[in-house]
Amino acid sequence: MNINHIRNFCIIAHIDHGKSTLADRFLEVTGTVRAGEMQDQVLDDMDLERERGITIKAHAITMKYESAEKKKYTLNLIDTPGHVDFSYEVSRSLAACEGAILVVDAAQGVEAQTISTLYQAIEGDLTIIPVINKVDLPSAQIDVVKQQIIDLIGCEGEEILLASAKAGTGVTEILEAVIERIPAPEGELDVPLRALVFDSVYDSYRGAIAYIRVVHGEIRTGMNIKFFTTGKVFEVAEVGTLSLKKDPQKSISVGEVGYCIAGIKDVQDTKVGDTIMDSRNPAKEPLPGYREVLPMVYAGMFPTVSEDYEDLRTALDKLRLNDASLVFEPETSVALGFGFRVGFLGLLHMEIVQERLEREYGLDMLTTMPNVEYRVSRADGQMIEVDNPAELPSRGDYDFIEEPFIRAQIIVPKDFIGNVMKLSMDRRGIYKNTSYIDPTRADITYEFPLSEIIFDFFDKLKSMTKGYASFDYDFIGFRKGDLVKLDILINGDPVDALSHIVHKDKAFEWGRKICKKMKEIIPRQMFEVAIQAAIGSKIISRETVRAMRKDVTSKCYGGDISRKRKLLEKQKEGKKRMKQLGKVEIPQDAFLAILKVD
Amino acid sequence: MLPAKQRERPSKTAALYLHIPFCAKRCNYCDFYTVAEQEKHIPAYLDALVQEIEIYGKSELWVEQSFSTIYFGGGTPSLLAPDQVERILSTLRNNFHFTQNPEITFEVNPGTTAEKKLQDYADTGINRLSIGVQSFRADELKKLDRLHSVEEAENTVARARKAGIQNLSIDLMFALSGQKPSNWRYSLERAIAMKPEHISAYNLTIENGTPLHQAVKAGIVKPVSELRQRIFYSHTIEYLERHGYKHYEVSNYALPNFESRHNSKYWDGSLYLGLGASAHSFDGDRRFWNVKSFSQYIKNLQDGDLPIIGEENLSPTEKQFEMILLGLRQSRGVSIDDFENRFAIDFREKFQPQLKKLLSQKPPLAKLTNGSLTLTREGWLLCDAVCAEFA
Repeated sequence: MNINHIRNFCIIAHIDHGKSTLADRFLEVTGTVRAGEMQDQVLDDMDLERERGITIKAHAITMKYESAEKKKYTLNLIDTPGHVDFSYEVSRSLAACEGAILVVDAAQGVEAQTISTLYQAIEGDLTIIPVINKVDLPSAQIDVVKQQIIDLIGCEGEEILLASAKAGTGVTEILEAVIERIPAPEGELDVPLRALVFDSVYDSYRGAIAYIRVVHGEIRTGMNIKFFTTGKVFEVAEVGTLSLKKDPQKSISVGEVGYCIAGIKDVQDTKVGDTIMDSRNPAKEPLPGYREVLPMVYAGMFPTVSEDYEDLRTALDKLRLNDASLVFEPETSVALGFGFRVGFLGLLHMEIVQERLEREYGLDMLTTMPNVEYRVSRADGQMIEVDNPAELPSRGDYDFIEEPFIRAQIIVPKDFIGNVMKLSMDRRGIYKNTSYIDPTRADITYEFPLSEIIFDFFDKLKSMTKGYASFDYDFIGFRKGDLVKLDILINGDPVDALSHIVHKDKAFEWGRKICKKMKEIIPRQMFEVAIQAAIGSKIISRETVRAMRKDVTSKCYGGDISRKRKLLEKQKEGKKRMKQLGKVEIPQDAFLAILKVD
Repeated sequence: MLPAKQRERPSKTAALYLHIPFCAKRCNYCDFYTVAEQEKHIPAYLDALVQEIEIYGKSELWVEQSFSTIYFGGGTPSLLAPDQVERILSTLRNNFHFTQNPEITFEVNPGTTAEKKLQDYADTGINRLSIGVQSFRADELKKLDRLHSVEEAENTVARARKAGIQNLSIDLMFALSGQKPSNWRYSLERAIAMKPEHISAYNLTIENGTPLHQAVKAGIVKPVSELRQRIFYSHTIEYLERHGYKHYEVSNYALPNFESRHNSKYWDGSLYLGLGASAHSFDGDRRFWNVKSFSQYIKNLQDGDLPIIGEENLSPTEKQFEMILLGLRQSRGVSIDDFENRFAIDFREKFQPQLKKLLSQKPPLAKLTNGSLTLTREGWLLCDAVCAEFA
């Protein structure tokens, strides 16, 4: 393939702005998929993704296109994840491209997530093709959105293309623009191999499959390759391009996008952002931009029945094969027994892992309240990392605690600025800056402790702005905080899995709210249950679940004893899903009570 | 020769139940299978019942049994004419073995029972009546949708006595919406003044699908709080025991030796044969039950088929659990010896966590006395929760 006839690009768009529909049209127009084969949104091939309408894992597809000038091109469309939890993966997908199509909804305008991805793309020297989609909507404000885009990327009005992916209009014009405006890849063939891993998946038959962009040189079947970060060497079993199915080739060469299978057993060895080299003739430098992905949120995962512990370990191991960003280690809780402390990129990632464990592995699990990682300066001067509040040293044994901070970008119609400020103040936000995307929309920058925004901040933000706000964030470092450990006691015994670290000023209110929420969640039992919140030895709040007063069915009659027995079995079944803490039975929900506190 | 199938054959006698699903009217709280205003179907139904008896009369298992109780339940069995009852009983006698003096109970609704009719019932061999009084207050009877008056209830008792029936049970109901404890005490007082041998006092249960349930859902009827139900129930136990009625099962009270033998059969693991629509049977291993619809019931038997619609083979675990739950619902409790002999399981070891939890509670919910696990006063109030521990 002549490198001048290759175009590598991605689509940047906010959820629902039409990325998937536009991708579908490209596949149809280029004949990659016949209309009959079309399943909605071909690129999102995980069920979960389809249900949530989010592309979680990046994939790529190669299309053959004959231009208006009757020249044949290879177009590689690289998909990008669309959620803040996965921003590093986005950056690696972008690094595999020379250009990006910016899709903006004609009615909704530019959103924060789009902007942050766009910034990354511009920083990476990508050529941007702005497209206003859904121009046929009655609520389309083409001129307003055009002006937003001009202000944002500094393009000319006539560079902006108009399309309706749904109706199929403007699609060919976009493909023509991809050919005309996006440069062909640059790179040299006769130099040592350097290929960027922009994604990887695990296949139970073939092992880890790396999705790659060859930046320099060529990768061939049978060749020995080396991954730069791990230094591990593998023999290439197969390389190929990605149409709807894998399409094996003898080699993939400079500028091309494809996959590589090399008997790799673990996706930990095909890290996103890593560089593949020729092990016999390695390049001197890796490609730039690799970063170890760090979890932002931690939670305990415990099997509901302790016999499932090994199954949970096996399932997590298997999930990790497919998800290099998942980390876990064994954890023992006094309350919950043996389980794992699992690190996630964010709350969405946590939910996805939870759902996959339940759906794909049939596990019944209990997940504890998620928390961020803290740094604790111990009295002996050593700095330790604490990802489990139960492990925080007691007050006398440390000097201070540091917590992770993020910089947040919030884009909101200017009428809602007041609400955003109020919410941000509530969440210990530090105001930084406001600029205007257009006369009606503000781009506000705040710094927040990560712990304040990780749970429900975005939902709150949405509801306080009638759904108009959009939000994105970056980790900026650790800062000292006036933090305390809040313990929850059930009938006098602290429950380690319910401990969490909060800001001192919020501890009383939190304690009160959590006790109240727990009271709603814990069903009445044969005896009274006391729920207390405490800081150290000081009790700051108490609620009581009254004992059951009467629970007896009058009739057990007419010989229908089966019915009575089944009712009681059901009553017991409900209890089995609860965790036994001493005598008290606690529903699993209780361990996530913090997420439900207003 | 060995029997074809080795089955558990308790030396105990068996029980026989007959379901008469017809009612003049359906009560708003009732979820038993009843058919209102369909009395014209009674003759066809009785033909089917006779058919069913005759089919079981050919079953080795049931023919081998010795039955010690017969129970006509409903519905309203007292809608049957005495000669119809006689027909059923003589068919039964022709097909099964009975002990010397079987207990034959008949449920009656006050208002369906003229003196002559009660006399005629007694002549058929019926020797126990269960009278659905429910309340001795007119306002409460109205609220419960009952057709009879307080006076009719009292007359029924008097007439039954006159007819020579020496074993009477009165059904009462408490925890009605808006009922005051003094109202309930009044009904209890009036009841014991008539000196029945047996009293069943039920906490009104709001069953799904009943008109009462609809009314509660719609907010028209306010359900009685748990605390009030507790007060009513504790008071009932205390009051009736003080007046010589032994609290021998969750909702049942009897003068000495007048416990319902029939119901006790259900609770002690005996075999029972249930005949008629929706009736349940138990053969020691298997529980099976008839179709609910009386017309389907009739049709099946006309076709010569048994009207069985469902069955369940009890696993050893289920049998164990039933023995415990039925035992705990009675004052005699679960005999640990009996349990261990039957299942060859160390009861105290197997249920160690449960026993610890129940016995160590303050106040305790159960106690181990004379080799039996029984409920305490507090335990009775939480009987379901206690039983569920053993599921």
